Amino acid sequence: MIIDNLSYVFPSNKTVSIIGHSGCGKSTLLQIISGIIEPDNGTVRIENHTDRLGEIAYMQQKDLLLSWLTVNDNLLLPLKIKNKLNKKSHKEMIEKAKILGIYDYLEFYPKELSGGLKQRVAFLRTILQDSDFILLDEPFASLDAIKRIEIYNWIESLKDYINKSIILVTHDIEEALFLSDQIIVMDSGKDNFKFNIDINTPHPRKTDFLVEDKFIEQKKLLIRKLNEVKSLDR
Amino acid sequence: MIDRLKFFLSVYSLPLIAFVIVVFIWQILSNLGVFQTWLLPPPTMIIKELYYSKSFLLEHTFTTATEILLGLCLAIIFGTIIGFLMSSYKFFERSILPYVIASQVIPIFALAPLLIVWFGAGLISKIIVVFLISFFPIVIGVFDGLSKRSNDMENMLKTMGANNFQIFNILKINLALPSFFSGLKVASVSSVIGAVVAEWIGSKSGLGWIMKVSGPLFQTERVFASIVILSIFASILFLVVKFLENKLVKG
Repeated sequence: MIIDNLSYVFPSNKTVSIIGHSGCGKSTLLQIISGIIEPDNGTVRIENHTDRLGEIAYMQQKDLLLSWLTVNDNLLLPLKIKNKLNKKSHKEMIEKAKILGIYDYLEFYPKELSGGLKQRVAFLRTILQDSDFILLDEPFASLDAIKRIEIYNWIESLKDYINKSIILVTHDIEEALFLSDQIIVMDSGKDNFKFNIDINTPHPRKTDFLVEDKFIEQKKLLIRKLNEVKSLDR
Repeated sequence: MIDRLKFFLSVYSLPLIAFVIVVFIWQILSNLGVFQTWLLPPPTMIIKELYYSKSFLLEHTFTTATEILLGLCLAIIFGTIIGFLMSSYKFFERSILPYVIASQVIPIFALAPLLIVWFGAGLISKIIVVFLISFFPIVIGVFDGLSKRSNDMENMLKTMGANNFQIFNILKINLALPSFFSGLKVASVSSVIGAVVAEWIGSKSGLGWIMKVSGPLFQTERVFASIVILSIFASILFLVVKFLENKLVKG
């Protein structure tokens, strides 16, 4: 069993990162939370909702853009599905697309975009889905280091208007530290959540944060904790 | 405009040049008396035939075209329905797929005489033959296309709150379109063969009938004229399907 005896209350309107070795069940956990797979035992609940499918925006590892739709139509797809497409939501999409540098590509098809752009489109599509809860499964894994820092800045600049409860699964300690309010170290097997740490630096954070003493200290701590957990598959 | 012309030439210039060379050599050899005209008429004679018998040929082209288009439309309608049912219900696939395949194995030459006995030498028996020959690629195209799964995308649409109908509409149809069009392209060309075969076996009109009656009369230029018309018709049909494919299959 990958996930066993896990009980946790995720704080609302905060970004929580889950880090851990590959194969420790991070993605499985997100799939369970999203409602795609049902746990063998136990329940997942979100505040004020009975259903999870359709209430939680979930960005999977692959960009999963529909190749026959333009970027514009891909971005509006979740709103169309829920019949919530109107002038206001369309305007909101345009605004955020400008911030993320997607605006010039709205009429393009996914195959005409670079890997980084596709991920940004998938990310924006997830953000635009009208829900208060967002799951991100290694959203920026295929971006190079420079592009990633660019994206972190974008997300920080979006933070004011995003203001949602986010769970971010990542391999990247720096990414977790930079973006989250709380970081959880996860392991497979029993009692999956081994350690958690709060990051109290206020948002929006600047790139300088990446080299602050506090940042380095927390990074060291996390690396130590990650070395302590040994996943089943090694 | 000039760019488009350049593109057109870059794509079609080689086959056009090859065509012109072959026709040219054919004409020269005919003029030199290498071929007897009743065995192999020179290109000029075929062109003359096309011109002088145009109303006669056109009338019979109309018959053949009607058979092809009606048969093909029926094949599209029923092929899509059967393919959809086969992909949706396992028991339906199991019970009907062997017969769909079997229908393709029966030589059309064996079946056509029966159909003519049953339905007469008129339009209906021809439509049925065209239907039978073009039905198979369409069913298989629709069935294969709709059987394509993308679990990741399906899950993603579910997390967006999509119901089964929306998943079908947004995802499955679009995943199926390319293989539907592959089937339709094959069907559009083989439907022409179907019509000619059916006319050959028993009819009173159509280009297949012209070919059948003109051969024994040594009117070979008329046979060739029919072949030219059929080739052009099949090409147009194929291009129309290709055009629709480009319009509908995006990205």
